[in-house]
Amino acid sequence: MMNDKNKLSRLLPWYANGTLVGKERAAIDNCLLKSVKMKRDSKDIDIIRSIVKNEPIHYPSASLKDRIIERIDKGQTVRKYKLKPADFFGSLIIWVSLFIILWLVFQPGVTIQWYLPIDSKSETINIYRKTISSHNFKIIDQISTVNVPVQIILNDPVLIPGQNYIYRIDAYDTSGDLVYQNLVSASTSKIIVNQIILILSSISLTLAIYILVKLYTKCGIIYMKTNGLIKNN
Amino acid sequence: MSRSLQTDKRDKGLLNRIADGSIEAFNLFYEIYYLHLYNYILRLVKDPFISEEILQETFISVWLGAKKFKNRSLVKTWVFRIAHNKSVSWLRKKRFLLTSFEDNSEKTYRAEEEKGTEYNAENKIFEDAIYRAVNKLSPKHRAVIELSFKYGFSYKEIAHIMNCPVGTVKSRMSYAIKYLKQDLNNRN
Repeated sequence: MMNDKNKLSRLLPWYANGTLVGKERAAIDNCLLKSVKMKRDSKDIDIIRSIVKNEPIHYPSASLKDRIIERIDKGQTVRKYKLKPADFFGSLIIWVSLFIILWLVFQPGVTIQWYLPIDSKSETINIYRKTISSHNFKIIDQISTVNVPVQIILNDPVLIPGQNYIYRIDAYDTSGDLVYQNLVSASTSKIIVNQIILILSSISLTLAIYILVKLYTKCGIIYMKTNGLIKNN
Repeated sequence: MSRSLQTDKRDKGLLNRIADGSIEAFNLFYEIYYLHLYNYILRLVKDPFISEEILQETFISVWLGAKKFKNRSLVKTWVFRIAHNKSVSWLRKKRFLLTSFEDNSEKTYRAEEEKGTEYNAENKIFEDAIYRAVNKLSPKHRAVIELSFKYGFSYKEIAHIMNCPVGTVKSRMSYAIKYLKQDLNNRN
């Protein structure tokens, strides 16, 4: 009972300011009818409340609002940007595209060149490739020759880093007979550092593009507002 | 619909417009709240110059954060929470400042306060005693008294503004009331 009274007594300030509702308010109403101490406490709180409520009002300087508006107008306030899902997916698309482009440009390919014998009389040249571990060669290029080239250069770009490859070149004459064959092995380097650079470059470029787009949009809006092209309300 | 809900609906409308970049809505919002907020901040930090700075930062936060406002509380509660946090943050920093500066700021505030009080002599002594007693309270106790008695917040709203449990708000209020009564009794 005493505990309940104490609990209710702690709510008196909010009973006094009128924000106490429902059961709590009813309980205090009830207690005030019975308890003299509660009534006295309530009266004291009312006095303190009315004095605090009527404290003298102070005014800030008249120019304060203008100073705030000036700061807003000058754009000295930078909205803290929160990443939205659209931003995330947009950036992801840019990053993946950039990564693919950079991968294609700087990928770990090999360049091989063959010198065919001048008297080989070859008309068709087939170039095959296989990895060390696989058994079958796969054709990767077919060159038809009118004037038989002496030198054949192969750029093979789409390769896995750190892998060993074997290339075979078969040259056929007009009757389809094999006139020249050669095997060459080549390995791509384990360019982990290069790959990391590639990933970091693509991320940096994505960020740069993203910031530029945002900046361009913001500058565009400011320009349009200052030139009255859009309403600056 | 109760008056506070109507007011809140109006304020939320203004906040939406502020979020869209409306200076006109910001002006209206400023006119509604600047006096309440300034006096609340002044009560906590006791320095008119610093209070203006905090008020300025509070309104800049409103401008920047209008978009982020979620309907978890009344706009009034939200804006008081910003002002409260900024004041408390400044009070924390103030601990590192020179004592002489603290003394000067308090003196300036008291001089201004006395200048602004124009009541009849009979009540003045008693009221001044209460003001002084309230001013002697620590900022966290003073905040509870001010928010409850001057600005009419419920204990739940005060807990939200001060970012503390409801029980803490009630304890602080009990302590503040007890202190004020004790101080007055000692004077009598």
